[in-house]
Amino acid sequence: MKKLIGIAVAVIGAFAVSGIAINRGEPINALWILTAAVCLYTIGYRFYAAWITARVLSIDATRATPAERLDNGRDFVPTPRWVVFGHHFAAIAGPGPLIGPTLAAQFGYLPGTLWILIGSVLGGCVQDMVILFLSTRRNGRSLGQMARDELGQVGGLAAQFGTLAIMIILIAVLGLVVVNAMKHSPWASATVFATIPIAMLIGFYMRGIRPGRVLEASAIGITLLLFAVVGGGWVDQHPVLRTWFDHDGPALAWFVMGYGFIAAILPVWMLLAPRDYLSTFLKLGTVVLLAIAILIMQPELKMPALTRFIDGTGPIFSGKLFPFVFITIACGAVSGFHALISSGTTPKLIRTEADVRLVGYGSMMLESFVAIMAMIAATLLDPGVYFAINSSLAALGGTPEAAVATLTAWGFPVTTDQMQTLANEVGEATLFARTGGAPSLAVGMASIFSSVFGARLLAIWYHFAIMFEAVFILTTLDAGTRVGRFMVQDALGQLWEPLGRTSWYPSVILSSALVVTGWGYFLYVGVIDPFGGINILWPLFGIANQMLAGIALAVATAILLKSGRARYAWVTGLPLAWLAVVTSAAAWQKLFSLDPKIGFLAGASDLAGNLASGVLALDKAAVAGKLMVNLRIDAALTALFLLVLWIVILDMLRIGWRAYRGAPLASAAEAPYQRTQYAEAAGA
Amino acid sequence: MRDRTIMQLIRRTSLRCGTRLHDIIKGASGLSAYEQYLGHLHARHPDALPMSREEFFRADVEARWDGVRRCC
Repeated sequence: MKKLIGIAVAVIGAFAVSGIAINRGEPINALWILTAAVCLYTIGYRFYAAWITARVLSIDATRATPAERLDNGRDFVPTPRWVVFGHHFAAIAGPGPLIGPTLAAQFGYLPGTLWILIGSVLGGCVQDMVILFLSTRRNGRSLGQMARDELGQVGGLAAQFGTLAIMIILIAVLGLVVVNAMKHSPWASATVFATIPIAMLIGFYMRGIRPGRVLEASAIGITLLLFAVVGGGWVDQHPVLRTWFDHDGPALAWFVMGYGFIAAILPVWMLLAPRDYLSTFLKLGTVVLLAIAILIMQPELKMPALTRFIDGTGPIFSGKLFPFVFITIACGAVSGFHALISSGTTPKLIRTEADVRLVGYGSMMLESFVAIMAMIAATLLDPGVYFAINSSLAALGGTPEAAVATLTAWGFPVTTDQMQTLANEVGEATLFARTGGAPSLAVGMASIFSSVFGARLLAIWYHFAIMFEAVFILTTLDAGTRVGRFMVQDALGQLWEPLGRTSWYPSVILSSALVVTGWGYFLYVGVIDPFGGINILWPLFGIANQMLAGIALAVATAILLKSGRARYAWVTGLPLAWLAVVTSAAAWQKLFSLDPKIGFLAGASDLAGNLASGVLALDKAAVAGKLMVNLRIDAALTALFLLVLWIVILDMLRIGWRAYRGAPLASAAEAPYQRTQYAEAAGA
Repeated sequence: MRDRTIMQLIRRTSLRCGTRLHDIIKGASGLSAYEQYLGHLHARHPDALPMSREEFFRADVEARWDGVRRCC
């Protein structure tokens, strides 16, 4: 019976995928994509993941996990599988899969969708699960520690550097997204500001009034957040109040930096922990609601399967389909960052090795499903509207009138009236050049929701979606600043011991300020960049993230090679090879492309040339110097990422070669077998 | 006769699914975390003094955010 269901799922899935791939010229229904996704995930989980756990990893349910052996009732605690799943998903769920697919939709719906599905089933989910398993077998050692044990000192350092670098770039780009969503929008700004006191209120509620009642607290919090969405509308109507919340980009960037700094030094229970609960529930709730709405409405995708921009001339970001669709999707398919969560915390909770598949593979599947939803929401929009929202005006001719003319000439007809009507409907002054992905996702989500749950509420749904994304982004922003702070304190502690004390206030303030300065710099330059900044920062983030995934997969492959499972090494080796090709190609182009829109260095010299010959407009000339410096810093970072990735890969190959020749190797650091006391887990 | 068996089967299955769903939601949301902790302590560390509900959730928050705990 189970086999029959499996075969049925496989047939439906194959049908849906080929339906998506073959269907050209006529619009395709979003249900096809939903079906293909659900079927592929089911097959991946039921067959591929099961095969990997049984054959490649040889999961042994009779083996006691570190949670059981080292059980101390504090950090090592054997925990039921769904509780671990909840913990793990909350930690890996971020705004990345909402943004990447929205931007990647510029190539059409097909390439992004295929990579989200294939990349996650064969790459991202596998990475999360394998790293979780390996760390579980090593008493919950972190990725950095495993890299040091298995590859050597260099690998360990590379993993640590990679983490800090990604944090900085990630926070900068997310800050930019939220700034662009709030720019000159009193409604959005008021709503986003209101989320801060709401989260603090919930923090006090959960700490003092009703500890641990998460559902209750979340219900109150979400009600208040919905009220904040409506309240933002009132603020927007009020002639005086609205001016308090009407700010330009640089002002909002300073606000975000100040916020990040304060949030990172406040105790976690006050702001970070409660908002984290809210954002996880919001994400799950919204994604389920979106899926239901798509099932009811069965909307057709208006974006073509492939657009002309696969040739690299796209207005949202420059670069050809290969490699930039992979770099842009990033976290929705493979996220190196998850390897940090899969090692370290989660393994200390796993009660039996049999749970590794659900927690590792399963939660990444859910995360990838979020990315599919974002892709559907972006491709439902009229392509003309989608490009008008997501492209900077500088990329489309400088003015709204020029922008619609350019887009119409490209075959994506749109008018300024149409854009103005839409902006009025969602309660914004303008929707032109609202780069960063959040506003376009919000318009997409609002149009799905309002068509099912009431068409008059478009403005409410739009700002609900903005609030939803902002809540995530702010959580990542202060959690990331905090993580960066720990790393900086760790490093500074080597120089002078007191600086390493995580609770010594002067050290906390100094290290937080250093981290905020790091990402604040990139954020500020992004805000003053007339091309919107996202076109520079997002690819840089994608390269960094995929580099970290490469490091994680290299560690996993090295362990497979060392432990006599070389014939299965392709399970992590193939995704690694693909990521190495993609990341290297993208980094190479970002460094050495002669096209000033793609290459960082070419962009810098192009700016220098234009500045010298005086062809730049005054406002652009004023910021050109800063942009040039920034482009050169970006180039240096890209070169460093590329170097780090290849050092780790070569290290892995060296170890593989030694293992093949039978040369002596540091012994695999797996903890010894001990039989589990959990009889039911052992199946006995 | 047969109908009744089928109805019973449906009722039992849906009841089981409902309970299971409830367990999943309670577990994944962290709602039952304290009860889980008490049960675990009782079973595995019978001589340890359990934390109060308030203390437990304080410790839980500290533990959740100590180190790299958030992704993109």
